[in-house]
Amino acid sequence: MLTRRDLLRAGLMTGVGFGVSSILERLALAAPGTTARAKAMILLYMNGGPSHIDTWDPKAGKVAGPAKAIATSVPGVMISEHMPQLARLANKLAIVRGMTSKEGNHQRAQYLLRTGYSPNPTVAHPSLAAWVAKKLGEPATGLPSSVSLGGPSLGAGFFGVQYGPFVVQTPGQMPQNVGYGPGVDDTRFESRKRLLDGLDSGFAAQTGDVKVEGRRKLYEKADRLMHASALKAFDASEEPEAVRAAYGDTPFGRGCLTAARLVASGVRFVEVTLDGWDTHNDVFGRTKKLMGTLDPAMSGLLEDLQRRGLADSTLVVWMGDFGRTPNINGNDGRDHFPNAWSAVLAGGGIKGGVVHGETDAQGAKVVKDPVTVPNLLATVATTLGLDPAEMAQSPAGRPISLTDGGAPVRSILA
Amino acid sequence: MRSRSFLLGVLSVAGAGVLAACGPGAAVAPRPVAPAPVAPRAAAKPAVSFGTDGIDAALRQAWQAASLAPAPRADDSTFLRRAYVDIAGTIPPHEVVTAFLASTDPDKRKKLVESLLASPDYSEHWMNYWDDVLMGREVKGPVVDRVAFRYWLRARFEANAPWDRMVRDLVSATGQNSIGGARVKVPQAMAVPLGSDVPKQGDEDASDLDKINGAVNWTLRFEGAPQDLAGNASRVFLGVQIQCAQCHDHKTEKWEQDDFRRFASAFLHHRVDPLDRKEKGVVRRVELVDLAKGGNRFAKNADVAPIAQAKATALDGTDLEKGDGTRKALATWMTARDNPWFAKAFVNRMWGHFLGRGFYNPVDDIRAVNTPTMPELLDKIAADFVAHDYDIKHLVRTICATEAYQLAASASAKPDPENTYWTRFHLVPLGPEELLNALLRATDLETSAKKAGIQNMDALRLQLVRQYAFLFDTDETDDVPDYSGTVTQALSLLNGQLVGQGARAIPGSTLDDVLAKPGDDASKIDALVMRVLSRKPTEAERAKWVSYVQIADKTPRATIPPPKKGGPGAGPLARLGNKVPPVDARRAAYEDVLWALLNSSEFVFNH
Repeated sequence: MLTRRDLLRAGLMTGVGFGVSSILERLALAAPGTTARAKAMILLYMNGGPSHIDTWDPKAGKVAGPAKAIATSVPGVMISEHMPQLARLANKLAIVRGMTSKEGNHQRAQYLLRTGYSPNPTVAHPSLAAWVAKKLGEPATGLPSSVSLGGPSLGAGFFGVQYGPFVVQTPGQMPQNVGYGPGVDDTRFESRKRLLDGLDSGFAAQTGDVKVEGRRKLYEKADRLMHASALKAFDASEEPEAVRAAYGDTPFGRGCLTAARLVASGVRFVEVTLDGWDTHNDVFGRTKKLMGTLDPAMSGLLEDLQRRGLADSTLVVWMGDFGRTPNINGNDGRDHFPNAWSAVLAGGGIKGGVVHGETDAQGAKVVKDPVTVPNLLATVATTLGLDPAEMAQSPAGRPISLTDGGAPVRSILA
Repeated sequence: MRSRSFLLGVLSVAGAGVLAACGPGAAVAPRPVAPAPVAPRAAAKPAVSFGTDGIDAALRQAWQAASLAPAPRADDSTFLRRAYVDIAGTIPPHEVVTAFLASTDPDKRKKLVESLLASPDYSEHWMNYWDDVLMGREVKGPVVDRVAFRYWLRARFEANAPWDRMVRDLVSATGQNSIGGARVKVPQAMAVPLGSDVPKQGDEDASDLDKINGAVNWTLRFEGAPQDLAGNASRVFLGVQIQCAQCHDHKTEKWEQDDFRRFASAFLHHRVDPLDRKEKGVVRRVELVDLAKGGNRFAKNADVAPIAQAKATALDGTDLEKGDGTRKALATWMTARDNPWFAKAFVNRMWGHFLGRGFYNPVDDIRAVNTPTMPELLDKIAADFVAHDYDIKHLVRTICATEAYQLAASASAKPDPENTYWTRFHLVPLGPEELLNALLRATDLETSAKKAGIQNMDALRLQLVRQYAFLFDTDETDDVPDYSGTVTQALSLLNGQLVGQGARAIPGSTLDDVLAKPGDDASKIDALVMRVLSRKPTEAERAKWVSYVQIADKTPRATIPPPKKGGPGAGPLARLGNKVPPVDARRAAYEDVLWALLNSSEFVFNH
């Protein structure tokens, strides 16, 4: 057992500048049974609802497609042959095959997946990203807490727009409007700011309204972001060719690479969207192509996080709207299927090499360990050190918990 | 398939139908005849009258009882800008500011409100407002014709349709959704000022339009989730949050899940008959038809079936399945004079819009437990609204004439920290369309774009609506004490093209125009502040900014990098002023002042 004094001495002797508290923190994080391990989360959102049977939960017989199932680094666990690199990394993944929900409509399902609640016109629930942004706070680097790469994602609900994601249209490139406008340089921007300051001070004094002060703070935040040295984290072209190549030359791949860079710069929550999973026709061709994008990007991300020393503190979650029907329709497609589907977790706080839950031979029903969306999000929240039962007051005065009664799936927690 | 290009018309960057001159006494251009307008009902003699005086007296009493003192009366320029923003969704043209400030007419505020109510901007603004409240910002499926819906709304506000009739027509709407044609995305629909090209009656196109009823698109918006229709309607039109009972018996209210189902059932007594086959990128024409029963169509939908099978009943127990159709009975019940919520909900919402805070907040939640301010005053104004036959313009007139609406935003001697009793004007950030309209008017970007030879004004307008309508969208029902904006919004004003290009002294721009006029720097600063903030600068401001431009003129400065060429996706705005040589230091200093004015809180808030 290390004493406080031992730690202190260790710190002094090694000459490493860690304070005692930081060493204690590290030890605590490494301790078994501690749930809060992740400090950041990367959500890989599969827009449209990916077919579980053609990805993580392959089946044989009538419901199967032409793709074969291949063995993974975890004995007995098979996934689609179109994800060979992820198969190799399966020992790092927790594959949840028992996902089930009731929402078979895209908009409703996307809302459920991001908030843990079915949509209800009474209340705009905060998304998980908004909870993370609010509870973990702004990074000291001047970057936003929550970033969405390539998609509008979902707003922060009643938490207010300030907790919503900072949306970047083109992943891997600098966000819009962070550089000066036409004909403006540092000097000119500074003189403009001074003029603006004078105006706003006058208006604040005249009205005495806190909203004016709030708006000035927001401008300061925008100014900090514009001039933050960490801003270049958005620009993935800085990375060596080999690193970029590992992720695959796709917008999603660049998004994943940018996500790693952003997390390294203190961003708490990054969402990267891969669209196109709504495969009502040509499910096999389209899913194969999508996995061709996904496989290098997601495996590249997991390995890059490892290399950057961020694997243990970053939670990576793969999920989409719902699964797709075992039945193959007349257009060689599969339709919406919320009954049974898969989600995948990896990284900080998650036990690797685990399959949780099981569907029947057709992939039509969860026959073992069903996991609801609130349970999935409760698991995610727990690894991030948030209490899934934590309450917030809605504007109508109703207490709303982080998830809709979700309980974490303990068996996939590290 | 018929082209719907006539509906798209010629897009005007000035947006809300360029208001040539809507100052006091200015003539208002006659509107083209809209197809199927709503004739206002023959005016009934109001039985009760509780107007502005009554409101003023009630508020005075409340202030006295709470030992509060009101802020001073807002000055003319503040009132002018405020009324423009609230009634017409934009800031006043500078000619109007000058004329209004010079006028000595004691009734000029009243006359201003009248002229705004009569302006095309009024209908454009309220069309935008209700399109947002009823339809939201998202695309709502292949059978929703957003343009037709907006067109329907605007025709109602143009004709000053009584509110009860408008809602009745909306809730019980039947008929065809669209004349078909290319499906327009939401920003595109919002970028279309319908006023520019309304077909005349007798036109082939107009007769085509007569066949459709744009109002059905609101019901069709819920085709994907019909169980949400009732909750939405009762929240928006009645201020009743019945949808809480959608999932469970209401904990604090009397509603039970069965009440919700029976009420929601009435909305589902319709059928949607397709007139076209599904086709990508095209509005699918459908016909909304009334049904005697709601049941079978939703039998397979587990969420909807229990609702559709319930016996359609109003929230007070009225049987809606009797009479000439359930949806008609529903609409009649909702908008009846003795409906306890209908008039109050609208008045509360309008009061919230104009005064920055409703009697109940959020404005669509009228519950006793939702601690209201002066509910008895709301009752009286609502009774007056009913007595005046749900005349929306009458209500606006009444509210705008009150003492409370004319108070300054400044703190009073005995301030009320939460400003519950409206003793000073609530600061409210401009909404998305308001901000865009204000920026366009202040910068005169439309003229500079034309002078720069930009042909595709549609694309320009679309680019701006995309940026602003979505970027600056906030929840309209919120009454948040703090300013809640996003960094993205701040960045777009700090560095974005609209403000960046709009602040430049390029041919046709506001600044170019101001600088070209004769006069000294003081007069130019005056003109600039007038154009952006609709007021004269104070002595101190004038001195400060004059010295800023004059010092700059004498200070040699490093060459400012020329504007970058637009990258991919930069849009037509990026090309503005490409060929203009770099400005001299003095003009650059003026640009700085204009930029600061456009970024100022005074500009961005309605105050």
